[in-house]
Amino acid sequence: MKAKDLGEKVEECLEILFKLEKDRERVKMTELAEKLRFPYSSMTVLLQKLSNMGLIDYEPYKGVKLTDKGKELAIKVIRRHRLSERFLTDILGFDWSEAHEHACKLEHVITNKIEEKLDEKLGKPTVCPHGNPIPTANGKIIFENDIPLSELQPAEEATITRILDENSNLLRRLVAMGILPGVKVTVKEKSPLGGALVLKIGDYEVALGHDVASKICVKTDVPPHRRRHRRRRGSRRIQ
Amino acid sequence: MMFCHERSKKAKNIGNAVKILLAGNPNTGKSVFFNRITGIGVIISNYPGTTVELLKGKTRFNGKEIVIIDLPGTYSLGAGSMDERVARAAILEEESAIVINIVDASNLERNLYLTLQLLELQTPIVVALNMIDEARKRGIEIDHEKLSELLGVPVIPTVATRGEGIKEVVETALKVIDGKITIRPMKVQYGRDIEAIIQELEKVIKERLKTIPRNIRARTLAILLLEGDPEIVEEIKNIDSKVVEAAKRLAEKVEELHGEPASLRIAKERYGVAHSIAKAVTTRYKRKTLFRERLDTLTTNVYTGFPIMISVWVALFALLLYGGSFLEELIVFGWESYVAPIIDKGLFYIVPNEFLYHVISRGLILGLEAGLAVVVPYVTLFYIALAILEDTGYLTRMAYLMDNIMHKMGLHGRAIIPLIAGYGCNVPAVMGTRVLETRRERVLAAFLITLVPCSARTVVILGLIGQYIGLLAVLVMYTLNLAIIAVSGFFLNRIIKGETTGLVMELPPYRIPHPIPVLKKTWIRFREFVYIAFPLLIFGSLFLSALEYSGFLRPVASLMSPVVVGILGLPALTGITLFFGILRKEMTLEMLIVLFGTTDFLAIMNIHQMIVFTIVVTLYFPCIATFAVLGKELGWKTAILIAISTIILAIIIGGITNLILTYFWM
Repeated sequence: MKAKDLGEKVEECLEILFKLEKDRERVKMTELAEKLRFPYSSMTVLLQKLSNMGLIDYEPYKGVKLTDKGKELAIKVIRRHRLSERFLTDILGFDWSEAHEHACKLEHVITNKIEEKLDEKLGKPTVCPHGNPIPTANGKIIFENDIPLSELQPAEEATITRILDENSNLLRRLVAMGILPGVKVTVKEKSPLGGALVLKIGDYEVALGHDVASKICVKTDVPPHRRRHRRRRGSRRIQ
Repeated sequence: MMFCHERSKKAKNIGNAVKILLAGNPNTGKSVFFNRITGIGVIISNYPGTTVELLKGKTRFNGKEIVIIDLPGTYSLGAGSMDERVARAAILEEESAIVINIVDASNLERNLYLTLQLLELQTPIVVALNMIDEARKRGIEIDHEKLSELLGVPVIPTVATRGEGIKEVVETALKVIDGKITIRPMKVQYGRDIEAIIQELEKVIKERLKTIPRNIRARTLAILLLEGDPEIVEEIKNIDSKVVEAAKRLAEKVEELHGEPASLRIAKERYGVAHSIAKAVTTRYKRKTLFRERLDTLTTNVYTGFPIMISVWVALFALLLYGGSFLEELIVFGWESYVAPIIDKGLFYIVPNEFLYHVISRGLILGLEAGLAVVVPYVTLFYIALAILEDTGYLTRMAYLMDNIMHKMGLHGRAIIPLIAGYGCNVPAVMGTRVLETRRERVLAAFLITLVPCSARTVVILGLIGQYIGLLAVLVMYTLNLAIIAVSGFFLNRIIKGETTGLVMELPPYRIPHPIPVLKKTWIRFREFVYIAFPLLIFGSLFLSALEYSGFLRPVASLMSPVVVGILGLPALTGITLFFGILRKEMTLEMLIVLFGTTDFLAIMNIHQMIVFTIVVTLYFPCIATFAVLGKELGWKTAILIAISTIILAIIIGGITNLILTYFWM
């Protein structure tokens, strides 16, 4: 089955799933329905359809996960969306804030051929007008190589990339204390007993529990291969 | 005539009293500031419908009556926590008020985040740039005139601990109210596309809403809705759900544009503004590492931190043990030899009925003595020590060190503070669980607190185990108790359902505590305790002495004997003492003396029974005052459940100890 045969909703669903999955293992059906603005009652039908096509792995009560095939297709849709945005702003002269809405429509009618020509015409752009990366033609997307803050060792410096916020209350608390993406932090002290740590942010210090620290993703300036030997055994990288 | 005139004038003044609200981050010296302006007559009241406390104080300044309200210290003004909700509500509610925003000069950027939110709410503010001395020590110099220019509000450098600049801040605030100084607060400007979205939502708001609740400006409301502020969203939803829908749609647009939630984007940009302001007014110098910074490293590093923590604990308990018992003896001696006989005599002449006389005299004298003998020496001493530890900033380090252990009990590091307070007295410790975020954590912590041997129980442990076995055995008792608390916590964590939050806590730099706030804090806690515990102590004493004199106690004892004698292996009459212990735990000892007519406890119980007895006294039923506080803070159902559980726990542990001692020991 080719991408162009798929309904608009299917593509949109994959796109949203892809974005949501960045922050968690499985996506809940209610959340997906809300983001899609699709009636909850019809969700099962839609998900069943996607599941039959082999695009998602759907387990009732647990949630949805994209399969490799689904991921590939989602990346394709994102590529077309972001290319469309560039086209709208660079060539048609749309305003940034308007571009997104129109691109949402455009992305679904673009064929492989149009996509190719568009890419060429625009000079093979790497980022959309809002600064998000455009996946390459063969489906590569540049991920940020971030690791949980809880993996850092004392004296390591890093920049926060994102906060995995299943609980928006935690996000609020962290943001209020100046812990948010883009902020540079240094691990001042770390307890070997269970991983609570003291973080230095500018002129002040904040103590974080291990569970909180594992929900904050950071990027270190040290390349990953050089960091590895400094990390403890059993550490895990998140995508 | 003259008198009348005076009074009416005074009344008028109170009616027109100027209201000043103190807002600021935690650890910015806000309470020192508050204490500097206000006198001793501070009123604590819960904000209606919440457990958040507001401190209110009155003062006169240049002939003007001023009411000062100390808002809870918060990092922001969203409705993320109850504290923030209350702070914002109070600011929006007090129309004629002015806010003094206390800002930590050594930590300007993060503190400005709250300042910007205050400006967005369109409240008149005066900024007190506090702790400039500390900032200087840390190599930070701030151009307060430039800061004032940028923010568009007065900025006055202060050192609250020394009282510098405080008068000026209040003076300026009054001038702003009188219109002698006009302020032109800066507009917090967001990025181009965010501004466009804010304006779009503002338009929707202006079209659809005739009036905005609490006089929030349309622009501010738009920002709050985009941030998804739960309280505001709920409020507007009830008026016009279309506005909320529009806000949601626009917030999603922001998310699509920037790849992050609108709330985060807005916060980020606000921090951006704070950063550029802070950068523009700050000059940094090179400086040496301060001693307090070295101390900070020593106390948070595990290898040095734990030994330091244990030493601090030992010192604290040694102080209680020696200092407390010394004071107690002094007070009890004074009471029994001078005050009590007078009351007794007085009652003898006043109360005509002999039965009533015995009940009242005994109940009143014992009840008051309990309060004086336990509360005054132990609890007060403990509170002073605790307030000092708190104000130095050490307690937060302790909370950090204990976080991993507390986690096993479903709590996080912060819960250690009320738990330690429990060693002084369970009553304020249970109140102290308010610092915890969720109900689950509060119930868990409160339960564990009731198992902590308070000073009254310490009296029993020392009086029996310490006296007849030795101090080492006392240590074993405490360790055993810690183990019981740990195990109970471990199991409760599995049983109690609900949300758990993690530790997110600022570690403020070490500071030398200031005596006035320390004493005031102690006084406030002490007063709170007296209000709750004293009436209960006296009423309970009266009730029990009535039972005693009417001869109802023997049937109670025989009712309890299957458990007391059968399971615990204690003399039957000790059941009565346990009944008295509900009132106050150390009364179990006094009742033993009264009932058996001897002060030699070995004549009443053997060593093995003493151990069981002490364990049971330590664990069973939190005393009546604690029970009352549990009910007030967590609801009566929970309080009853906790009480019953502790009784069962006491019987089980006591029973097991009895078995072990009977069969395996000698």
